[in-house]
Amino acid sequence: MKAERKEDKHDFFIAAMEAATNKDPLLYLKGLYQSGFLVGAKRTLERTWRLDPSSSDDILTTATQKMYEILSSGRRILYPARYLYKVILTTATDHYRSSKKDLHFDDSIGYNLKPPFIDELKDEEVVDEEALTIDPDELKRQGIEVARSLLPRIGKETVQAVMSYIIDAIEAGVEDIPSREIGEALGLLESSVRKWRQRGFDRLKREAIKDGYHKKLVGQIESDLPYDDDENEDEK
Amino acid sequence: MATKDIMGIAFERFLNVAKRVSDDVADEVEAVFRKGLESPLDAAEAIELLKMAAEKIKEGAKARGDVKTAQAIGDDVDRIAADIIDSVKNGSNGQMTRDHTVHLMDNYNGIKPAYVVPRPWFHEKEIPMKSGYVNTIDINLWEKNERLDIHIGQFKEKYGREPDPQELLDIMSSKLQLPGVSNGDQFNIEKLARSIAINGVRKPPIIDIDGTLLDGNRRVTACNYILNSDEFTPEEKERAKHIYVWQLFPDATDDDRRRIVVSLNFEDDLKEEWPHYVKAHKVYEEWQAWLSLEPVKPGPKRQLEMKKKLSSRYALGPDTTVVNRYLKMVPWAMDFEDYHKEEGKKDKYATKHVSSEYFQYFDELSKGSTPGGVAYCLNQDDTFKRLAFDLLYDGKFKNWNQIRELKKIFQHEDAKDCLRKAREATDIDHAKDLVDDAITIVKQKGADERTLGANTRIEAFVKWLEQLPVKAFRDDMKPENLQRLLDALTLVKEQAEKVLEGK
Repeated sequence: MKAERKEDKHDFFIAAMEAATNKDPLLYLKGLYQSGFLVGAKRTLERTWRLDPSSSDDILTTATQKMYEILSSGRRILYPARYLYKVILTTATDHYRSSKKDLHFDDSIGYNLKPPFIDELKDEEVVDEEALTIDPDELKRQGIEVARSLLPRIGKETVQAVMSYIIDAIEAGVEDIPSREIGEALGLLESSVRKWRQRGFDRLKREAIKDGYHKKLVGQIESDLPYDDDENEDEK
Repeated sequence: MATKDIMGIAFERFLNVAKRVSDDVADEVEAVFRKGLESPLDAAEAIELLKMAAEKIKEGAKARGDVKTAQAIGDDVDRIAADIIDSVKNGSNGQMTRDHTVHLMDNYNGIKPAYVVPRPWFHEKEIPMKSGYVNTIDINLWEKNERLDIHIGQFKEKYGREPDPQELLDIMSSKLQLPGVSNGDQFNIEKLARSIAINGVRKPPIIDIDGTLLDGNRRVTACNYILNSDEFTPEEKERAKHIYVWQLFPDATDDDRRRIVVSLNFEDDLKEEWPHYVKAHKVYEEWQAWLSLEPVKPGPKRQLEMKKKLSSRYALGPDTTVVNRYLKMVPWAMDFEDYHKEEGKKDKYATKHVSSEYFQYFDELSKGSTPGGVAYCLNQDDTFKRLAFDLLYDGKFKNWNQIRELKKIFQHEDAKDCLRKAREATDIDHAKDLVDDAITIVKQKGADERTLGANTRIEAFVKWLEQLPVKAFRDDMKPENLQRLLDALTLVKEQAEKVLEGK
């Protein structure tokens, strides 16, 4: 049955997730296909992200397999569609990073018509070759270490808690961390989480520049004043 | 590189990952769902993607010891992918559901299933297909094949059920006799079988996923004939056991099937086409359906537009000539059938067979709806129409040209009398002679009328000439007319003297 209504497509997707949890790969694939997600993801990779078809298929099927593995291990995912989208995104980023494929995207066409990871990879292009030889897991560990070391300097407890949650999730290999999930875990509104998250990133970067970690923005710190967070800013 | 630099790189990467992981993507995800439903993949692409995904899941399962998952996928990912597509297709858009029960052979004489490339076109649409070998006996003749429409109807009336595959085969092979069907190999199966025995099936039949034939009923029947007839050698029978076919993908639509049928049976491909009777009825029925959907009775301009579309839909050309002919012929054929069924108490399907055999005659019968035309005459007098229908049913017209003479026969009682005698005649040849006589009478009377006219004209002319003053020859006649008159009178003088001397 073709999913015509909004409710139907999500029903098929949920059925797919349940099938994976029950280790039924055929129903899993069927549900993904029926919901339109599998096809839509392929269209997104090829038409919106403008990836070549063979890479798209490789990325998409790898992500599909990863998602199946996660679900069949018994892990519970709160927002599986988002999660799978993020898995696709991560897989695509890793694919292009490791294959070192040239990514030529004409910026004049528009931001929306290139992969979301393009800026990330372009930033990484300007690195010393030595860094590229380091084990990715080791790089990840070092990055988390730096972030944790900077946490106490990024402002009030709330922002630290939000960023700490994110750091922990990345360390655990989680691919998607919805604001709602963080809010529920920390007793915060979703909108607050989004706000503190943004501030947390900005401040981490700022502190990293101060310490000489963030190479590109050395010398561009605008202010060295302490963070002025309102204690009563959050309401639940 | 300094440690701090590396840590800086690591931190940058961490930031990028952290943003990616914590970004809100609800809109992007909805867009993915929407794209998937708005821009579906075609069957070939979908199957390839699902195959790849299934393979990866299986590999991953094997690597981590997930036996249940690995076993669920098994070895035949092709079939899994096809089955998924097939099961998703069930019941969509009210289309006929079919089970993928007939699969191409994995390997026959080194030939494996493959995509048909380039993708074939059928009536303005590219329809993807796979090619390969199947067992001849797995193929089901298509009971909805319009060529068999009358035969199936007769069978159902006689036996109260649809014919089974063997019975369909018997009908095609003319082994199952039905009223009104002329004896002999109606579908020329024996001849085709002999050709196939020597040359093989040259053009691949087209089958659906459940083995139903969309094109190639005769070819497959011929192969079955080879298998069941003592006429052929074991080698020839062996070759006929498997047929190279083209097969639809599971997600083929009913529109795809229609296009294949139209393309192969309405467009000229120099093969044995469907009878015009069948084609015309298809066109007529569709026309009636379209008319019923119009909110008001369509005017001439709208009708022309509809007819052009109908003509295009059935590959009958850019103008509406054939459509118009069919739309006139079918009502006459129906009238003919109704008359024989209701008043003549003849078998409905026997009548249909006759109607089909003489279908082109209805073209002549339908012409001349204005006074003096054939259709006009027949519609003026039911008795005369019945007379024509009786003669047509019995095959007492030599050819359709004779139908044209009906408009003249209508005016002459003695010619009509000949036709009545022809209807009563039991000997077909004698009946045909009587029809000839009727036509001769009306032609002869035409000649007689020209002759009688001459006497009247001569009398009038002579009287006029005698009364003409002499000076008129000098003053009123043009010299060239005077010369013509002199020449004509000289000719008449010669002929008249000969005739009069004889008397």
